[in-house]
Amino acid sequence: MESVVPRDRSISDLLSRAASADLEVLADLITDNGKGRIALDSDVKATIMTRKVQGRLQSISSLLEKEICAFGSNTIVSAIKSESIDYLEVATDVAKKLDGKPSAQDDIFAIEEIIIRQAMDKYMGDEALKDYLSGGNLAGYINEMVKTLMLSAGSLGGMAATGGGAGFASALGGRVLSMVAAPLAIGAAGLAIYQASSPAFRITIPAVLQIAKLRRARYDQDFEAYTEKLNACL
Amino acid sequence: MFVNIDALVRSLPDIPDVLAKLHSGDYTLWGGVVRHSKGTEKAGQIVGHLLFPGDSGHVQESLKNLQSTLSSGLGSLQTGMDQVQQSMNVLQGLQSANLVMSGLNLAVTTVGFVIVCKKLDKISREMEKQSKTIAETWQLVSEAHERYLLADEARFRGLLRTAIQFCEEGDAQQLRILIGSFNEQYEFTRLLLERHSRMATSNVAFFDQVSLLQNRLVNLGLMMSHVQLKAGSHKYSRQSLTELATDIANLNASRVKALSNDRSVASTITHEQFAGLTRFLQDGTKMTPSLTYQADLIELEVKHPGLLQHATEAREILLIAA
Repeated sequence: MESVVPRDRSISDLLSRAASADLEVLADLITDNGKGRIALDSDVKATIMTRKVQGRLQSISSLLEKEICAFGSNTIVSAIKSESIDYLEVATDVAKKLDGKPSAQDDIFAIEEIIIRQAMDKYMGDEALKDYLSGGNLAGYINEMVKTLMLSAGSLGGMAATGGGAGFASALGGRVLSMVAAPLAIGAAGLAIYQASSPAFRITIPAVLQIAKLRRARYDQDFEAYTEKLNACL
Repeated sequence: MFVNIDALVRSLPDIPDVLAKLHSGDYTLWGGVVRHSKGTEKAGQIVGHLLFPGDSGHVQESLKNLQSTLSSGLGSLQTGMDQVQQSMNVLQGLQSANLVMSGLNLAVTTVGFVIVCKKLDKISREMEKQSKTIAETWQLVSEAHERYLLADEARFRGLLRTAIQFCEEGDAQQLRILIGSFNEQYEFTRLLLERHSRMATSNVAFFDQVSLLQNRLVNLGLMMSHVQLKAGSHKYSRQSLTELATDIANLNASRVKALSNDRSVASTITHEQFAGLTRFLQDGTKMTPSLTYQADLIELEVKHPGLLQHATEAREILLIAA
């Protein structure tokens, strides 16, 4: 049964009530700022871009969720079959990618917390992490991280941001790695495979961070409503 | 090291007087080459080369040498074979020893296994014994707890029954004696509720028990006020009601504070639970005006003795102004 202050709202639920500015960030990530991606269907791209212009991205929350999860799929087979994985799995992959250690008992809220802390440590440094842990402006930090990561998304430079030293080969993932003779010698064809089907951490990391921000904002709203109702009983 | 000297045997070349001239010094032998000696007219020039023997005599001699060499080699081989056989014998001996050792190991392992099994059996028996002891202790504790709950309820019920009896009999003296027990029961219930009100989890997980205890607190407060009134302690009767109203309000405030400060508990509360919780809090809040009204009536009785009795018995609606 659903909680009064749920920690695990579905992505479509979160997106359907999010601010347009926050959804535009996700739309830009998915469509590579409207330029499109190999792994993105042109009709889907067109739909997203149209709704973005109309300021009605909330109405396609399920589509946005599906596309984010599709980017999280890290096999060529799944990309070809247009299969996507569960968002919890996407977030778990991202947490592991950022050297976090999510456990099977962790809910999505806890996994996103791991992601936020790992990302803060990795991209913002110790001081920012300390500031966040002592109640600093999480939304501000996430906005900054997402902006930085988006600049590198869709380019090879993104790999440095998302994979660090592990780079290309690591970003391709174990199941695809065997198809790659030499990571740095992939060239155009390899890049196409990479863009089309790799575990697109350059997209999923900022996307999950953005969703974590939305979830926390919604969680705060729910908790505020909860405390208001409690106080009204006095 | 074996050296075949046949390879070093050479014949003189077929040159006239070659041996004589070698002896006389006209020729000099340089390795396998015969040269004109120094100081001669053709000094350094090659006269001829020594040859490998080519006649049958030499061949037969070489064959004999070869047979002899082979014989001595085969002899060595036989010696080697003997040595190998000896080694094999040693190895066989070692294998036998190894088998014995394996057998011993197996025996030791079996004995060890038996010992371990016995130890495990002993531990198992000990654990079973401990489990029985724990189960018995648990049963005793449960029984003690149950007896305590029953005793507590019996005290509460007994107190109410006694109070009702003395109220009906109008025995103010006996009622005064009961006031101490009422206060004790009231304070115990209030302290218990206060303790739970500060813990967000308790307000959710033990909601039914908390709700029951609060009902008990309210009934104790009302009964105590009535007993005080019957015993002629109007001031304390009124005070019991105002204290009850204050306690309920404080308990509610404490609950709301605890619940508002614990996000993790908030996330575990379902909509159904929350509806029950808010109803419970609202009931407490709604109770305050009624208790205050009752307290005011008692104060009116204190100021105007017999007024309440008159109002109760009157057949008309009376407007009473404090």
